[in-house]
Amino acid sequence: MHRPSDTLRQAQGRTALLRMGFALMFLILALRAGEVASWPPPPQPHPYEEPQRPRRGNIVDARGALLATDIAGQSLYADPHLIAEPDTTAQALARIFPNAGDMTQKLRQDARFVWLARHISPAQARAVLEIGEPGLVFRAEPERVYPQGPLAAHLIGHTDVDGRGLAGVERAFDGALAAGQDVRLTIDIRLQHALEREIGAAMETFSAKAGAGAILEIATGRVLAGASLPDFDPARAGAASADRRFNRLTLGVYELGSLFKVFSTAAFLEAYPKEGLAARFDTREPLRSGRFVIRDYHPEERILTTAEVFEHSSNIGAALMAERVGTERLKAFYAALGLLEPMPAWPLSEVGRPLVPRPWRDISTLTVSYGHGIAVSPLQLATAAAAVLGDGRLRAPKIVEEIGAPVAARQVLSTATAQTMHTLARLVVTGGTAKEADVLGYAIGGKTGTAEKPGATGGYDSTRIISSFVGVFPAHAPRYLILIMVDEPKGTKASYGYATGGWVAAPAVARLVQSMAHILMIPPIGESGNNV
Amino acid sequence: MRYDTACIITLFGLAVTLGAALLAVSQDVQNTQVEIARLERETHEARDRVHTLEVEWHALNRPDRLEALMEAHGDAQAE
Repeated sequence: MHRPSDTLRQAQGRTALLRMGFALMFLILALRAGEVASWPPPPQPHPYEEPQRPRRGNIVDARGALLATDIAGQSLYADPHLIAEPDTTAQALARIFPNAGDMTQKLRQDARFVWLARHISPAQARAVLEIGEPGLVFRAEPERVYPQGPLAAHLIGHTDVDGRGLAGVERAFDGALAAGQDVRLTIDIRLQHALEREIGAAMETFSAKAGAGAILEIATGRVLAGASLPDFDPARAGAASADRRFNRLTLGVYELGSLFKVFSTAAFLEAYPKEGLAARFDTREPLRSGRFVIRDYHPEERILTTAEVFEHSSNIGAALMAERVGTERLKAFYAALGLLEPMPAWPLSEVGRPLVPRPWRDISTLTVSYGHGIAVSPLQLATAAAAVLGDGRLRAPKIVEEIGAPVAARQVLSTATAQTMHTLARLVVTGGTAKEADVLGYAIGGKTGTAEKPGATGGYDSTRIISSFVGVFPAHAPRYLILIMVDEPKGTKASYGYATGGWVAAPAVARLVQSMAHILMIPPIGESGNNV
Repeated sequence: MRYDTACIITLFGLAVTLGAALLAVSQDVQNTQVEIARLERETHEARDRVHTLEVEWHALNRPDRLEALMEAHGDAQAE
C-alpha cells in the first residue's frame, strides 16, 4: 500500500531533521567560539589563603590591653624540584637572609617542601619576589607578637616558632589559646609597669643583680602585678639568657629573712591571745642553742615587748616567741599558710618547691622564726602575708580572670590577730626599720627583711644579701599587698653603705604606693581611716 | 513542508535565545565569583590591617613609652 510520495515525504522529513541537528551543533560551536574569542576568561585573583594554623587567642590584661596576639605574617619555603639553578638562587637568598644557614644545601634537597625562613618581613618578601624564582613559595603564617615588650614577660610566657606555648600563660593555657580563645589576666599593665620601674630603679641605685615583686588585691587574691627582673622580650625569648628567662617570682625560692617575723609573730599571738602584746622578751644577750648563736642585727640590748620585737626586727625576740609557740604549732601554722609546700593552685607551671629544714629540729623552729633555713618563692610569701596582714583569710593567688568565680578563702588565723598584725606592721613604718616606706595619707604597714644568702662553702655570706619589704595599705583596713625583693644590693654613699630592706626595698614600695594612688585614684585617708 | 520549515526556524530561534541566556548567566556567575573572591580577600586583608593597627596602638600606648613622653613634654601640656 506504499505510495512513492509517502516514502519521499518521509525521507525529506528525516533530511530536514538531520539538517536541523547539524545546524544546532554548528550554532553551539559558533557561539562557544564567539564566547572564547570575545570574552577571555577574567584573570583569577589570588584567592584568600587560610593560614596554616588558626589564629591563636589573645592574652589581655584586666583592662583589655593587648599582651600577646597573632598578626598576619608570611613564611618562605622552597620546592627544590622547581628550582632550576640552586646555586644562583641560594646566593640571592643569602643576601636577603644572611643568618639563615646554608641555602644551597636546602635548595639541593630531594624534597618538595623545605622551610627557608619563618616570619619574614614585608621588605624581605618583596626582595624574594624580585628573584623571580617560581620554586620559592610564600605561606601565610600568623606571627606571635607582644605589644607590651618585656612587660610581665615571665607571667605571659612565650611560644615557639610554630605558636606552641613554652612558658607562662602561653604554656598553661595553650589549649584554649590554640583554639582561638582569649585569656584575660588579672594584671594591670599600669601597675605592672610601676612595679617593674621601682624594682628596676632600686636595682640600679644599689647595683643589684636581680629583683622580684608583686601587688596583690587582698580581698580576691588577684595578682595585679608580678615582676621578675632582669627580664626579656617574649618575641625573642630564644635569644635571651637563661638568667633573664628565670622566673624569680614563682619559680625561684629565697630565704627572705625577717619577713618571716610576720608569720612567727602571728603564730605567737594566735598561741597566746591573752598575753599577746604584753609579753616580754629578754634580748640583752645573744641566744645560744647548741652550737648556734642567734644575734640581733641592730641589738636593742634590753627587754622588748612583742610589738618592739617586731618593730625593731629582733631575731632573738622572734626566736624566743617561736620557742614558746613550739615546733609542732609553728610548723602547723607555716603549713596552713602554704609555706612548706609548692603553691598548689597556681595555674602556671613555673612553681618552686620551698626549701624547709629536713630534719626539722628544735633549732630549726628558732631560725625559721626569722626566716633562716627556710626558702620560699616571693609570690608564696606574698600570698601568706596577704592573709596575716589582711583579714586572716588565705586566698590562692589568681592570674587569670574568672568572671563570677567565687573566691575560695580559708581562715588561717583569727581576725583579731590579723588586726593586731596591721597595727604592728604600721609601727614598723612609723617608728621601726621601714620609715622610708611611709607615704602621707596612705598608712602603709609592713615588715623589712635583710637576709644573707647561703655562701658557696656552706654557712652564710654577709657580703651577698637579699633585701625586701612586704607591706599592706591602708594599714587599718588593708586592700593591697605589696612585696619587693632585691637580690644582692650594694650600699651607696647616700645610704651610708647600707643595703638593708629598710634602705633598698622600703623606699621603692613608698614610690610604688604613690603611683598606685594616682593610677587607681585612691583618695588619701587619715591614720585611723577617716577622711583627710 | 512549510510546516517543517516553520518548526525548524522556531526551534532554531529558541535554541539561539536559550544559548544566549545561558551564556549571559554563566558570565554573570563567573563575574560574581571573581567579585566574591576579591571581596573576601579584601575583607581579610582589611581585617589584618586593622588588627595590625590595633597592635600598633597598644604598642604606642605602652606605659613606659607614655611615661617617657610625659617626662619630655609634660611641661608643654601644663601651659
